[in-house]
Amino acid sequence: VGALLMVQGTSSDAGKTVLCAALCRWFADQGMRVAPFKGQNMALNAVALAGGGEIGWAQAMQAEAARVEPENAMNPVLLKPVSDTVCQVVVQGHPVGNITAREYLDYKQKALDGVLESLASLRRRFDVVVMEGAGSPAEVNLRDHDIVNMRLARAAGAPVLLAADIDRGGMFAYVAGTLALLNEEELACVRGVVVNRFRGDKERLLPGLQMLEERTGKPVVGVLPYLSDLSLPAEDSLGLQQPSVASGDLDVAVLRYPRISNFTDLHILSVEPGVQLRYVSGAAELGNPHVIILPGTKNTMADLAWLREKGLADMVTAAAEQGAFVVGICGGFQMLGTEISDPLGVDGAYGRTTGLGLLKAVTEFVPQKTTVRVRGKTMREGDLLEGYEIHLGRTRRQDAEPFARLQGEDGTEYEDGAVSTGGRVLGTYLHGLFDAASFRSAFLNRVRKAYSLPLSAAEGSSASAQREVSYVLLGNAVREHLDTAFLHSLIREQKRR
Amino acid sequence: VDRGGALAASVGTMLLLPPEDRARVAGFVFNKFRGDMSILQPGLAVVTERTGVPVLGVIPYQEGLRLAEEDGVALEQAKAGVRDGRLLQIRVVALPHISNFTDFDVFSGEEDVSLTYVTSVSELDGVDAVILPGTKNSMRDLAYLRERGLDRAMQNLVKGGTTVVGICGGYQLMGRTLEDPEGEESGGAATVQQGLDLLAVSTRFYPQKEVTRTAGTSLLPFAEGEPVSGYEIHMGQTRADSGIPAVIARQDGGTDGAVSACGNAWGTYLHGVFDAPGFRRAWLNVLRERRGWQPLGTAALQDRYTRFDQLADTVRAALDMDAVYRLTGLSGPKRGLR
Repeated sequence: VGALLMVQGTSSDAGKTVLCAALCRWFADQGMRVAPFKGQNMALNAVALAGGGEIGWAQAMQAEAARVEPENAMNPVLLKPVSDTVCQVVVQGHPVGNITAREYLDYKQKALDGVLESLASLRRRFDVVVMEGAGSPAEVNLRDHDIVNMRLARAAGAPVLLAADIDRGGMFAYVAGTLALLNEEELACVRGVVVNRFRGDKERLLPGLQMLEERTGKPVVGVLPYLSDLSLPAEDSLGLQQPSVASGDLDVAVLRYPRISNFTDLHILSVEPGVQLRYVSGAAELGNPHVIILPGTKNTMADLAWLREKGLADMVTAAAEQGAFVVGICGGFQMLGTEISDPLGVDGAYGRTTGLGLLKAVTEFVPQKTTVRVRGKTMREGDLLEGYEIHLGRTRRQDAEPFARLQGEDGTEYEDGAVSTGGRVLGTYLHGLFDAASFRSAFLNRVRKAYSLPLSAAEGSSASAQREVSYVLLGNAVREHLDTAFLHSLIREQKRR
Repeated sequence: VDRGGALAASVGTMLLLPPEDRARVAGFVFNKFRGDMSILQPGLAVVTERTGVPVLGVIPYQEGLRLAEEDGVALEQAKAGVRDGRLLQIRVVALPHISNFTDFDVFSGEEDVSLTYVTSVSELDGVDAVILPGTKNSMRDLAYLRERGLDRAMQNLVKGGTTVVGICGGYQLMGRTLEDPEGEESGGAATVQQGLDLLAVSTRFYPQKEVTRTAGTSLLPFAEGEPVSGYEIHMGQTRADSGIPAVIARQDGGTDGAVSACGNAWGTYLHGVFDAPGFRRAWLNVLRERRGWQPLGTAALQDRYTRFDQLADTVRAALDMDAVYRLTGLSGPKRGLR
């Protein structure tokens, strides 16, 4: 049976996701077969799997770091917020319905059984499972409902590393307080502390770490430096507040609606040389961008209404008339069409609404969810594409050219998306649209040409190649900065048992 | 609360404080809460039980509360400005020792302005105005401008008619000379440096620090008589050549600042000079005029002070004010006054 190692954090955004990816890569480098695991993930960024189904983006990324194929068992429960109080619940990769926060509390016990089942299945097939917790395990008011942190660690017998972000300050108090609020059994699960995102002089930190070890009786397993060169998108919407890394002459505005989803699609543009990517949530911020992107959404009709309310809808159509490039991905594509209808209320609200009308296409929501990995080529230029689709709606073109010819894993070919007559407005269901270097470079140069901006000569690298560079950095960081002998011993003691 | 771990952080902070400091902590305030209070309540009870310190309030998460951006992180984020042919392009030079950059926060409420912070000459293409902000060290930042070629770039911009404005340390940099006889800004050694020579003024540094609140009216031709107010914090004294027009007539009868012969370069010691909506709009309209754009009226901006009032109301409603009055030794407002 595979060994376990769990990472929990002292707060959200303590760097758990990246630390798990780092551990995945390091264990893989030791010749072990590694699976990432997060029992329950609340996220709007999801990835379609080979063979259908979807899991949270973070676990797919960690699987990539572990050099294994992502699968449903790695993220058995995925909660995708539809509104402030309602989530779509995805179990084992497939949606089981929308439920309210209150209803979910009752559902949790059942969910925990499923979570443990998935974990057991991974342990049968992998040498090590790197488990990720959620939020903080010290929310004592929520302890009874916990199925992702200590309750899971205890049920599965997983040793826990507690990750704390030192960059934000208060790290010592977070660690001491978290351990103080755990009960005895929970405390026994915690085997060590990992200090994350450290910048500064480590010598000066050492007395503090020693004090912490004395006070808590838990060893500090390592101090990971702040890794500024990582090219990994942030998992949750906190990451959306960060502006483009690069500054550039090509201005790309992304409409940041309240239910924005799969915005990991856009990370690759935020690090593309020559591109300035920015998120726009009000009419005053739109300006006069070269490209406007309408990303995915968990609730197309509600976010379209939001665009109208903010005055952004008219501004997008006006910008398109003046020649701006407009790209809609998934829900954004649905908005660009002439009409959207949801006769069964599967996307959140019943009814019918007119779209922005920039593409001659009509969307109808149906209860069947499409989750599929695809590859193909654009119709016009033959640029290579690769990615996945996750959506409820079906979109019919009416007198519009398709955007791409795609092929599913079973070999079926079909036409996807739509392009305006002038070619400057395009919509597609393909998530990861910009990940392939071929399409991204060709598209950006088309925009450059249209605006008489200097063309970019170099074709960039693919998003996965850029991520691979990050995984190497992470694996090295574990080797250099964590007590790897201790990590080995945590694995060995489970094998002996 | 928003980030999670707040209960642990509170308990842990108390655990790590020495007893004499722990005794000074009179209460917890939980901040940025969104959600159901009844779910949080049992957690708060545990914190008080473990620490003996009462929870004085839980303040809700307030969206869109725009006071001034306060730290360098916010400055980084503001860099991702808008590039747009229809917006006035204002660039603030991000001097290494930049200070008081809250001066420029007001522009974020102006619909026709894109303001970004720059560090290189290449970012000055197509600008309408460049602002040299305040600095904690004029002498070193002057060297920085030279290293990056920004000194010559700004001289060329002024020659070409582009507006360059200096505030406080930035104003000093725009002068002819900066003299530091006691080495106040230069690490002990007496120094004289040539400034950017955009204004006929010279600055001398003294150990005495000038800290005053200033109110007055604008003397600039495009905004004559517009009221301005703010404050001055600086070490140096700046003297203008005789006959050089000033920027501000102070209420105390003195004047401040200097304007170049062509009028498109000016500097002042007054932090907050752009806070006054009338003055700000008049200046922006000068930039619009140069582009051949119609002038705009004063933006109906929600005043920052109204926002402070809202903030105060929210906090008042969320906190145990009786406890706050007791702790501060103040008596609460008389009933009916508010």
